[in-house]
Amino acid sequence: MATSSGHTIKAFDEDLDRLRALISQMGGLAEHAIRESMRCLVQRDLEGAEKIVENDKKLDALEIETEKQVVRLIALRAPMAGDLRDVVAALKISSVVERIGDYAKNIAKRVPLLDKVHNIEPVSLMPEMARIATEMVHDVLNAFVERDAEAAVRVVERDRAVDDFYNSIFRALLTFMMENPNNIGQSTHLLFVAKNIERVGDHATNIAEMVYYAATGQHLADRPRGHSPLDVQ
Amino acid sequence: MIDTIVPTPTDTAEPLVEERTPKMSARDVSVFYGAKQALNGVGIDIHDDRVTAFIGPSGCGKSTFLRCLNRMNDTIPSARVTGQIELDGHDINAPDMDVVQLRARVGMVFQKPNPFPKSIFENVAYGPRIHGLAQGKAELEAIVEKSLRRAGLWDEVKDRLQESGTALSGGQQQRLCIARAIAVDPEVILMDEPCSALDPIATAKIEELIHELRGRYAIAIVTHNMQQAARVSQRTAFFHLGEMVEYGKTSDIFTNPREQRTQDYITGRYG
Amino acid sequence: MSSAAASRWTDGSIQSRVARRYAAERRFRRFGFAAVSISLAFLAFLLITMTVKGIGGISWDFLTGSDSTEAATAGVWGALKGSLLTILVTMAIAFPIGVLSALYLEEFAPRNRWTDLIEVSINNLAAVPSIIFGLLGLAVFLNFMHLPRSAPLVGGLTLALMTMPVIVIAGRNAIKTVPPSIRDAALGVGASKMQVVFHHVLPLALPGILTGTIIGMARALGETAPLLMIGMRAFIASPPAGITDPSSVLPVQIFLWSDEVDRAFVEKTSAAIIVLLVFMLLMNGLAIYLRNKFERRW
Repeated sequence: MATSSGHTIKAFDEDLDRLRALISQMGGLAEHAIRESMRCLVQRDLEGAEKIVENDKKLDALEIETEKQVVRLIALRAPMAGDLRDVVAALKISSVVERIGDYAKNIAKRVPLLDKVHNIEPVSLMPEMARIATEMVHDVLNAFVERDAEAAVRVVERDRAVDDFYNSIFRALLTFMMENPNNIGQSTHLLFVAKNIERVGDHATNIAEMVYYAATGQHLADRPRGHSPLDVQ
Repeated sequence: MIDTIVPTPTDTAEPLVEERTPKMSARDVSVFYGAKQALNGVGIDIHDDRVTAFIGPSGCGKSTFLRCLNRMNDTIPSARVTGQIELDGHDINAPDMDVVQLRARVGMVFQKPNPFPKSIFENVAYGPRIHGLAQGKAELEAIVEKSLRRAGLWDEVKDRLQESGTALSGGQQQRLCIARAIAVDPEVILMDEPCSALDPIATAKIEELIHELRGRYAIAIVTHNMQQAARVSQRTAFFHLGEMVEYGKTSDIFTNPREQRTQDYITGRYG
Repeated sequence: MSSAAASRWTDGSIQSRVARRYAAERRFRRFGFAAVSISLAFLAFLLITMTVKGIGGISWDFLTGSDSTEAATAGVWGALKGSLLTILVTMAIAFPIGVLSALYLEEFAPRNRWTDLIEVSINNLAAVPSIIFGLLGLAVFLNFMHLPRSAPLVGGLTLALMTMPVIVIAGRNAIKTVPPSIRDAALGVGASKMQVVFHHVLPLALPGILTGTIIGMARALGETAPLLMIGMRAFIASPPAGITDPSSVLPVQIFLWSDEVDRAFVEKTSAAIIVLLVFMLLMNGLAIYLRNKFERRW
C-alpha cells in the first residue's frame, strides 16, 4: 500500500528520505563496482582493479551509517506498520548491498591473476551476464525507494536469465578445462567470477523479496528457479 | 458489516477466527446527542481473557462507544442509543435488564482518578456493601484486601486503610479506582484512558496490572496512546469519525493494517 | 539585537509602569482596610454601648426570671425559652423540607418550563419582606387552622416558611458544586440514583447546605415583625412549657421593653440585647462547628 501523504512530524519524513538516499547511494556504488570490475577483467586494467578494492571501504562505511540511522529512527520515531517495514527492510538491504560490493571487490582481486583471459571463449558471455545482474540491482533498489512491489516482482523474474548464463558458462569452462588441463588455473578463477555474478543476481532477488514485504506486508511466494548445474550429467 | 468484525484470514500463520462466543457483542450501534450523530453503526466483539483496545483521534466516538457498554450514556439526557448490545447473549438495553446490576457486572475506570472522598477502605468496600456481597465485617475486610491485592495496591496501603483515598498519589488513586471496580466482582472492566493523567512509571504499573487482570476479566481500554494500545492489547479497533474502520489482531493492525485510514493514523500521517 | 531587548526591561519606561501598579495595590489595600474598619467600628460601637448600658442588668435572677410589670423583677428567661422553642420548630420543619426540596429539584426533577418557574419562585420567596410571612401566618395558621395564638409552634411555622427558600437556594448551589466525577464513579460501581444522591452527593453538599442554614437561622432568630403579627407580643408572665403554650421571643421582648415608660427598663433592654447577641453567637457557633465537623471528615 503506497503512503498517501507526509507525516504530521516533518522531521520523520526527512529521516526516512535520508535513509532511502543512503540505500540509493550504496546501490550506485555497488553497481559501479560490478561494472568496473567486469571492464577491468576484460581490458586487463590492473590500476582500475586496485581502485575498486579501495572504494569498497566506502561501501562498508555507508552500511555502518545506515545501521546507525535505522537504530536511531526506531528509537526516536517508533515507526509503525509500513514505516516500520520500510526501516527494517532498509537495514537488511544495506547489508545485502554491502555483500554485493564485496563480490565486485573479489572479482577485482582476481584481475591480476587472469592474464590469458582473452583466449578463453566463455569470457565473452560474462559482461552480458554482469549487465543483467547490475540492472537487476539498479531496478530493485529503485523499487525500494519508490515502494513499488510490482517492479520488485519483475526483477525476480530476470534472475532466471542470470542463472541460465551461469549454467552455460559453467559447462563451457568445464569442457575447456577437460580439453586443456593447463588452463585449469585460469578457468577456476573465471568460475569464481561467474559464481560471484550469479550470487549478485540472487542477492538482487533477495532484496526484491524484502521490498515486496515492505511495500505490501505479505511475503513473495517462492520464486521459480533456473536449472541447477547439479542437473548436468 | 460482518467482514469488519471477523476479518478474513491474512497470510499470517494463525487465521483470525473467533471460536468462542464473545462476552459482550455490539451490532449496529449508533449514538445521537440530540440531532448530532456521534456513532454510526458500530459492531464489535469483546472477548474474555483478552484486552481490546479502541484507538482513534479525538472525537471519533471511542469513549462514547465504551460508555454504551455499561449504559453510562443513560445519564446524559440528550443521548439516544440505537442498535443491539449484548452481555452473555442478553440485550443490555432490554427493559428487564437492571442497569444497576449491569454496572456491577461491567465495571468502569475513568480517565481522571476519582476516588470517593472517603477512606481507602470505604472506597473499596462501598460497592460490595451496597450490593450486599459480604455477610459480616470479616467477609467485607477479606473482599477489600483481595481487591487491593489484585490491584497491586495492598502493600502500599495496608497500614493506612483509614486514610482518605484522595491523599494518595495519582497512580495510586487510579489503582484504588481499579480495586474499587474489582471489588464488586465484575465480568468486564471498561477503562477510559486510564493512564492519560499519570506519569510514565505509574502508567507502566497500571499496564502491568492490566496484563495481570487479563486472565480474569474481559477488558476494553480506550487510549490515545498508540504505543500503549500496542503494548497492552491483543485486539485493536480503530475508530474514525464515529465509525469503526478496522478491527483485528493488535500485531496485524500495527505492522500491516488493511485500511489506508488506519495506516495513516498509526504512522502519524493523520491531520 | 539582544542588547536592544535587554534594555527595554532595564531602562526607566517599564519601571514607572510597574511602580504605578504597586502604588495602586497599596491604595487598594488602604481602602479595603478602611472599609473593614468602618464596618467593625459600627459593630464595636453597638457592642460597647449595649455592654455599658446593660451589663449591670445581667444577673442570675435576670436570666432565670420571667417578664413582669416590675422592672426590678423582669427577667429574660421566658423570652429566651420561647426563642429556643421557636427556632427548634423552625429548623425541624425548614431544614428537612428545604434539603429534600433542593435534592429533588437538582437531582430528580426534569428540566422543563415548570421547574424553571419553581426556581424563579423560590428565588423570589427568599426576598419577600418578612412581614408578609407574618400576614400569611396570621391568615393560615391562626385564622384558618386555629392553632394556638402566640405559640412557638405558630411562630416556628411562620419562620420556617421564611427560612426554607434560603436553605433551598444554598442547598441547590451546594449540590451543583459536587463534581460529576463522583457521581460517575458511584454509578460505575452500580449504585442506584438514590444511593448516589444520599451516599455521595448529600454528604459532599452538606457543608454548603449548613452554611445556608446558618444564614437562614440567623435571620430567623432576629425576626420581629412576623412574630408580632401572629401575636407573640403579649405580656407573658411565665415561660412556655411546650410549643403550644403562649410565649414571647427575645427580639419581641426587647421591642416591648424598649416601649416601656419606666426608665428602669432601659437597663433591662440593653441586657436583653446582650443576651440575644450571645444567644445568636452560640447558635451560629454550633452550626459552624457542625459544618466544620462534616467538612473535615473527608
